[in-house]
Amino acid sequence: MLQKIREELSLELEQMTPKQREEFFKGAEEVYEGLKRMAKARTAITR
Amino acid sequence: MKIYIDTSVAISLADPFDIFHDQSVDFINKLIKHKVECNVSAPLIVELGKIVEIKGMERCLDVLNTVEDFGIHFKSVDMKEVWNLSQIYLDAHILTVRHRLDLFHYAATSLLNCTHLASWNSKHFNDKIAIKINKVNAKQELLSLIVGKPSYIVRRENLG
Repeated sequence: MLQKIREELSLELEQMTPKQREEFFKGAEEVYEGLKRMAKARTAITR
Repeated sequence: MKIYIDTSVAISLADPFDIFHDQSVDFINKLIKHKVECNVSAPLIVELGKIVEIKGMERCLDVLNTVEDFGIHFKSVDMKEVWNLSQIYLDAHILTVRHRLDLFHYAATSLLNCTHLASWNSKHFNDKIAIKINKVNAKQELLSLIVGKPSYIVRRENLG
């Protein structure tokens, strides 16, 4: 599964302009920050 | 010694039904026992975004919780630098554009001055590819990497 995701994502990144890639990486970082906060909140109620 | 784990190891750690789960847990516990620093970085985030799309958010939250629970450090790295180094690897024909994400992990490991890169994907993370990566790294004045499955790293470094 992971290898398929990597290949798809690799090809998608190849098609992006440098500006689009920059936005994509910035977006990924924001998603990560959000997920981390969600994971923390969930941990607080399940433990 | 400073280890970087790729997303395959982080996912196995988080999923008790994954075939490499027990070995991944054992690997991280051995690193903890030997006080070896263990890291993940931005390429994991990039992949998690896609995993959310395909597998849903629950899976990603599990991976993030697990990374934190095992005390694995998240190290920041500039994705522009990761991209540029992965391009140098591509130009050296180490892997093809279809495997850019694999090269991201090599690049992040190198830029973070990690000495070892652990992955369950032995097709793209092995000794032969590491030799080619290390030739480029030498020219770029970056560290040489030891690359392989967690079990290989445990044996090689006597972490048993």
